[in-house]
Amino acid sequence: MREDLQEELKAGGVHVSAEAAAEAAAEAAIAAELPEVATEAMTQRQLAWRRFKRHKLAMASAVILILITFSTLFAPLIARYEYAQLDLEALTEGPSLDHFMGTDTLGRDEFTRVLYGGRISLLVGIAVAVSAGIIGTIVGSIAGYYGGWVDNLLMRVTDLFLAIPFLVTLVIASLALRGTVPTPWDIIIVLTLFFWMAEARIVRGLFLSLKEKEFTEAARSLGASNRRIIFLHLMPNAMGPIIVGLTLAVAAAILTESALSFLGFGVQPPTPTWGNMLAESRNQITAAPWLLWFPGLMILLTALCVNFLGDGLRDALDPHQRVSDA
Amino acid sequence: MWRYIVRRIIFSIPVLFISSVLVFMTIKATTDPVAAASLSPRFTPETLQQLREDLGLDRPPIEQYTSWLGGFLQADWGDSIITNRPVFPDMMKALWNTIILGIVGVGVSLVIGVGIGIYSALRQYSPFDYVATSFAFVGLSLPTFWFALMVQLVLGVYLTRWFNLEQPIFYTTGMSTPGVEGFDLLDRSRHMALPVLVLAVQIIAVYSRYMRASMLEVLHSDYMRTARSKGVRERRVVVRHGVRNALIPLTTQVAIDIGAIAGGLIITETIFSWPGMGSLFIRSIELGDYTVVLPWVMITVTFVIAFNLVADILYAALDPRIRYA
Repeated sequence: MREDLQEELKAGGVHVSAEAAAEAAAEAAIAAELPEVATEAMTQRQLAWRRFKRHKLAMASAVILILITFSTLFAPLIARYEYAQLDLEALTEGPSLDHFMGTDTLGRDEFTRVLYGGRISLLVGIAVAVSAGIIGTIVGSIAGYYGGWVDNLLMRVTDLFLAIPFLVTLVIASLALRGTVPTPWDIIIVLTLFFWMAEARIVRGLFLSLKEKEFTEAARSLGASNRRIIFLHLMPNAMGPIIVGLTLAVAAAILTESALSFLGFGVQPPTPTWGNMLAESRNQITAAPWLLWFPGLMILLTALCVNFLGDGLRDALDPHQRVSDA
Repeated sequence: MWRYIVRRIIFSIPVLFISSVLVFMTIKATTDPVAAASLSPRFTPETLQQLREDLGLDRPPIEQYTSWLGGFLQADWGDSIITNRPVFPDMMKALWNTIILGIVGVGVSLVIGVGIGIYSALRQYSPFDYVATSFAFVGLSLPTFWFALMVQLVLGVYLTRWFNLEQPIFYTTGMSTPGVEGFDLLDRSRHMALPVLVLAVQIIAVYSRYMRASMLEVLHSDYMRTARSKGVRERRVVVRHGVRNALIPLTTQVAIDIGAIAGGLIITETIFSWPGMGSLFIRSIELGDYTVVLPWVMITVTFVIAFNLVADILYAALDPRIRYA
């Protein structure tokens, strides 16, 4: 067996080229029989987009999310009322043509408030995911790349943050803000502080394996600095999981913000958010259930779409996934 | 193996210690123990000062910490400054109630989630798999508090109304009906059903996805083919070789989840007025009762760290491929 191999290797050059020529001829023959197909080179990004388009649910989710985002952004153009506008003629009315989602106990239009509330929820979700994603990526890449005591130290800190029950830290942190009325930005900062750990762990794991790869070795032997290797060689290769983690964090942050607002420690009224609207209407649960249906359904719909989007991105950004036109 | 366990236990002691310092500092910095008292007209500036001294608030922070830690370790947690009741027995009772709810919730979810996960993996891309996957996504995207309120509304209020029942099938608040003496399984179940449902829907979503993924991985492994080619019956291959191996990753997840129960049911407990750790926490925070919040956080942190340890040890014990490094 081994001798055969050596024989073949000796004859390698000629042998291979002869075979290649035969293959090329065969391919040419097949190609001649087939109708001409235009093949064009595709970049990674184009391939990813093509994979993403195949995930029907993710596509639909992306469309819905864009719709939700735009309708909250252009709330003043869509809504026929002000979000704090009282209508004493129409207190606690069910959904009607005048008020699509009914009115609350003060006669405020629920539809308008859902639109404005979405602004805060989306802002908090996206801002927390991005800032926590950046912190997590930095912590994770440093821990994974340098290893040793740096890794140990950073991961123990991560464990520490993970050990304290999540809502507890948030409640205590927002207590520190008590006295002042927490603005959405306060909530974003507080949530970010306790949202970076998952991303840090993902990135650390990726870097641990990526730094052993040949291309890292190659970059290092060419004299690339650590910083250059981390940012130009390793980070692009870890981008897929980083983006997926970030997307899923948006859903988690939206859910957490609403839970925090619901417990009364989040963004305070009169600024509407989906969470504090639910908290305000909790006592009307039997008298005016529509006040609970709509904000809750919006949270569910948004989180669901973000999660589907994340699932689609996971498939799309994984270069090992095959692209077929089927 | 034993060396690994001992090492892990020793390593978790500094983590616990650092957490206790951080928790102590955070709570000291964010809560004013005499804030509630200072609002009361019964207290004059002089008596407030007296109260501060009684509570040891005029002493240096390190001294306060060590005396608190000493008391904490000896289960001498003092009296609540709000209710004047001893903290330790009250919290143990709350902890017990929470653990009952949590264990039943995780247990129910485990059985259903594992079942769904296995069947989804065996019938990958079947209609059942698609339905299960969609439900899991919905479960993961549900805002807990909203879902809990909806469950109360539909299964508690509407169900009773629709069927003109004299009393509800499921109770929406509390742990037992006032007047029911001792432990009544039926009464307890009717109180537990809704909170357990709320917990289970979300945990099942996680476990079924987890089980499906690990089962799929196992199904494609070589030892499954080996078992089949030895002539082992299909059922036995799936159960003995497949399911048993696929359960390993889930075991650690369950251990971690059980650790999170102690401080993790805040919302569910608050909505269903379940007299557990979550309700206790929210009540104490609202009253500014730091004498309860401090040991509360310590207990929950200890639970998380301890069960993370259990998870690591279980993983190492169940999977011989793990090196005890």
